[in-house]
Amino acid sequence: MLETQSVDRRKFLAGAAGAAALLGGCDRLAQSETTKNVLASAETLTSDVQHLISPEQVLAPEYTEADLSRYFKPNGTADPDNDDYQEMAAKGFADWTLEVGVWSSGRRNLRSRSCAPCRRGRRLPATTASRAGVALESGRALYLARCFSAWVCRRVHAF
Amino acid sequence: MDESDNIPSGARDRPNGLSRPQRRAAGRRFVHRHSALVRVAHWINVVCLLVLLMSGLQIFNAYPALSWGEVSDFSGPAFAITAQKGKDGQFRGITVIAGRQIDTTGVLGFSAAGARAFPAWATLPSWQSLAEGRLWQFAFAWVFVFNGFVYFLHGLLGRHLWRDLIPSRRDLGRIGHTAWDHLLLRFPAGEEAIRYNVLQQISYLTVVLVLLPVMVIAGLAMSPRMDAAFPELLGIFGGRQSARTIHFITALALVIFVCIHVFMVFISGVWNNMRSMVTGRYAIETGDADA
Repeated sequence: MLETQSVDRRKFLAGAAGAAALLGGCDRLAQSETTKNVLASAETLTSDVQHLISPEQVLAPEYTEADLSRYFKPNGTADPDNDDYQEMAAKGFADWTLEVGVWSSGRRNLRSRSCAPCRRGRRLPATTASRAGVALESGRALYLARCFSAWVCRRVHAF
Repeated sequence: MDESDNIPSGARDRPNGLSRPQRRAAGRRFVHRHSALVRVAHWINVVCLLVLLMSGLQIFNAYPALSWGEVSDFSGPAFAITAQKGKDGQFRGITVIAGRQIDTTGVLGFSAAGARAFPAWATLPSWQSLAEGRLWQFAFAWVFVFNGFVYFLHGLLGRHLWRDLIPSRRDLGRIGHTAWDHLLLRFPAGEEAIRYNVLQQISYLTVVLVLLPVMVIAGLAMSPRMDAAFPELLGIFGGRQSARTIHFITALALVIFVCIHVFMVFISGVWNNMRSMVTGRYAIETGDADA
């Protein structure tokens, strides 16, 4: 079993080496800055067309509590090796707070008038905040924080 | 029973509309088989599908599992490509299909480049990069959609769709016969070879009118912005995870189509077929038909 395995491995490695030589040209193309710039220009097209065909204030579909996944899949780790995180985790995130603010970039959909309370920064109760807390140390922290602050913005603004 | 025993005559139930022979040689003449637009669209499509497939596998690698419905089932997805450490300390590539585990070390799950779902040679770029995979995918999706749109419009307004692709009642009636000939690798010669046969017509129509549109719509259903603007996109598939799964299965169907297509090109006269798709000129036998 182990022998056939290593023979297979060798065959695969040989095949992979051949394929790698063949793909060398492909990789050089993929690494070139010109290629990346051309490809990235299509992103602008995608984004422009998406904005053109969808309403300005369109919101993502809403889900209920029941739709929450039972499994949270972190990118990287669910238990970051970070003193702050470990300390908070030990206390069950009891003192955990999230400062929510809005950074106005001058884009139309982020006009500061739409969310005055958020601009001042507002501390949220730990129970609300801890829902988003688990992922904050992972690579998606910024993205989640943004989604979360948009959600809080809407809630706060509704008061 | 053998179709190719009949010396083909020009008579048929509808005109083939192909241009008259441009050149006569001993026992063969050339006809103009594919229009310039079809030829150009075909080769653009070859590049697009290859880039879309390879960048798609790159994107799949970022989360190498498929689920059904709205939610990713991280605990037991219907399909997953994973790397698992065996008792000997060596990693094995394990592909999980509906709870069944298959050892795919070397290709899926664990290959020369280490632990990754699809191996380096199958993805674009070859190294792990979701961001770059997405750049390739979306750029070529535009080329692909534009190319397909021009091709479809040309087929609709011109004669390609109606004349070449929609099977006639007579063709459909002979489908069993044609399928049997294909299984025996017997291909029509002479005039009959100019036209797409009924199996070609059905498979090309399936690709153009079913697989490719499903591919595009399922792709759009994975875009959060498109889902927000058109929630019915999610309704069609019953969730973004279903859309992703269907996108993947459709890609697989296209790969199978391409394999059969290329195989057929090779065994039914590779040079003649390639020349007709590059220059448009296709040679047909005018003397005794050979099987």
